[in-house]
Amino acid sequence: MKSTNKMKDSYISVMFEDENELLDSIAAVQKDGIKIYDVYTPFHVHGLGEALKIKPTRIPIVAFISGAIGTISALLFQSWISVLDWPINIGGKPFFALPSFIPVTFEITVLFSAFGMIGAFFYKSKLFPGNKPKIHNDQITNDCFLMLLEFNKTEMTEDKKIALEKLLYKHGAFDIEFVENLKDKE
Amino acid sequence: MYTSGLREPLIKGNKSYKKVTSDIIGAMTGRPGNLWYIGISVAVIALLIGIITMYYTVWQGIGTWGLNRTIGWGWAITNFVWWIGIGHAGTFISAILLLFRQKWRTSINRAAEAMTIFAVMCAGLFPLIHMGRVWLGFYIFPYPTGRELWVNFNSPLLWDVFAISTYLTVSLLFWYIGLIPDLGTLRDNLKSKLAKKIYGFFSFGWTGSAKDWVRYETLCLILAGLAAPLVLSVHSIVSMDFATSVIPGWHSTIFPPYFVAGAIFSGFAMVLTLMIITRKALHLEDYITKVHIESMNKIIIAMGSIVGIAYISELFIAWYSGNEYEQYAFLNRATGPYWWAYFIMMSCNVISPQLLWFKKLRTSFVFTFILSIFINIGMWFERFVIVVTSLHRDYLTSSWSMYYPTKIEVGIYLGTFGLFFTLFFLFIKYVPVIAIAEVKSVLKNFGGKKIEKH
Repeated sequence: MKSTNKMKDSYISVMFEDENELLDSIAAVQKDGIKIYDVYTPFHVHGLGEALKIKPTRIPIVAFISGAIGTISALLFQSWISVLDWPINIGGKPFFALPSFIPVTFEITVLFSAFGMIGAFFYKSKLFPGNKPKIHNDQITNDCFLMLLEFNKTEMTEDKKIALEKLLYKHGAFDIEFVENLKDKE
Repeated sequence: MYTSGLREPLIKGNKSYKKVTSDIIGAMTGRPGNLWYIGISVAVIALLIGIITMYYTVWQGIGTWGLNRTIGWGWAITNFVWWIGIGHAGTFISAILLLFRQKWRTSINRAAEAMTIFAVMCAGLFPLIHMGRVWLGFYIFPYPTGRELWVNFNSPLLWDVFAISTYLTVSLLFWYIGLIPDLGTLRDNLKSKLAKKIYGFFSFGWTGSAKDWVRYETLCLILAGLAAPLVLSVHSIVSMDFATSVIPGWHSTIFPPYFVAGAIFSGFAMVLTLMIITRKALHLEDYITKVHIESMNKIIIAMGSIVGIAYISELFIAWYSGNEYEQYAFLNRATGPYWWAYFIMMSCNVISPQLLWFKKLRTSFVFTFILSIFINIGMWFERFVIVVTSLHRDYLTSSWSMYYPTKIEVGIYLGTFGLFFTLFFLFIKYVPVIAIAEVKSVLKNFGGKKIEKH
């Protein structure tokens, strides 16, 4: 946050009451070539990721890799115990009893995969206990949709500002605010 | 987006997003009614009875229970399987119904998941106490010991350890992930400074940024994909505790699917019991509507019928196998000294859910509430029938015996009810019972109306 907040950059915070107005404005603003810093919504709006051209997350890959680590380690661990470290002869049954290793292997796969995925999610989204939200606005977790636009101060003339405001109001924005520093948005 | 004017809206009362937030937070922050205070007091008393009887059991030993040489598994295992079964509805609702895109689940998934977690905690207590020396409970985990021995990976009892601990962990994680956006909402909308601090701490700094939502949705989808087979695996493995043995009445191949259906059946019944009470106690009539009750009742009919078919095929296979021990085991269930348990099981689980074919009954809150309690009782007796009647006629006639629970066993069972309801009452007071963010996302999908702008 601090690093991106250069002297020349400024932000416009635009509020909407309806997700369709938000989606319309995103399309309009993108057409004008204005950069969208981020969008905050109280719930997951379908089509928002596509509209903002957010790259698909790599969480599925993390899930697969951590799950695979679980599968392999559970299988190896059980086999090592039952075949090499302390084989127990139970009525002449085979030491390497693959079918009876499957339940534990499955459970460990799910467990590892869940931990891996959730760890990746917390890490990438910078979520951790006691973390303070960087954008603080009481309404964005309630009923408002916030779009933050980023622009270069030197290029933004008064005329452009007015035109942009007009465009946003036309698409349903109810509150537009020019912000110098994101910290001020408290 | 497709909307249908024919369907009843999922959430009644044409709510705005703001109203959803204030309704659900209002249900938490308002002074709880007398029902809540009475409920939690009774639950705490039951919990105390449980703690005393558990303490007595641990101090004196398992001899304080009604078990004997013939019947080594009694109430404890019956209760264990019953609680685990109840713990299947939550993750079924949040995982399998998510994959099937059932939008009505959004009003009940939070409470159902919480119920799952509490039920699995209650279930876990029974095998632990049943060990006798609870302080050696950690022996069940494979770790390098001074005894140089490992656990036996061929035993379904060990699979159970892994299945249940994984299930509890993954359910807890799933529940918490779903809770994070709502904790953010609480942080921003509560007035008290302390509450803001506490919920702020647990909300992990959630803002609802678009990127976070994209990751969040993907995470939930994959977690659901993993949790769906997990739900099915847990009760399958529990059933293998019985099915891999050589006891007539236990060693049947039908057990895993039959147990899973029974688990979802009893779990949904418990969710209905709890949600119908919560709906009234917290005035959430607009959020938990006839649509929800009816959808859940439909699943109850499906699962109840599978359970009924399983009972009948067990009987048929026992007769068709020509094995006289198997035939005796099943005949004895229905006509032996425990016939009354079998009768309760059959009437509560097979006959009573069939009444739900009538739409009038299926959409009635009072009927559903009564029926859900019948199903809970029936499913408890199913496990009692399986555990006790299969054991009480041993291979040798001289070993035949009867089993009756002692006061101590009843006390421990009561204690788990106490634990369950204490946690549940605390949950409905301090955590949003309905997933706020998820309900908002389905607000416009049904009813065919767009919310008017002011």
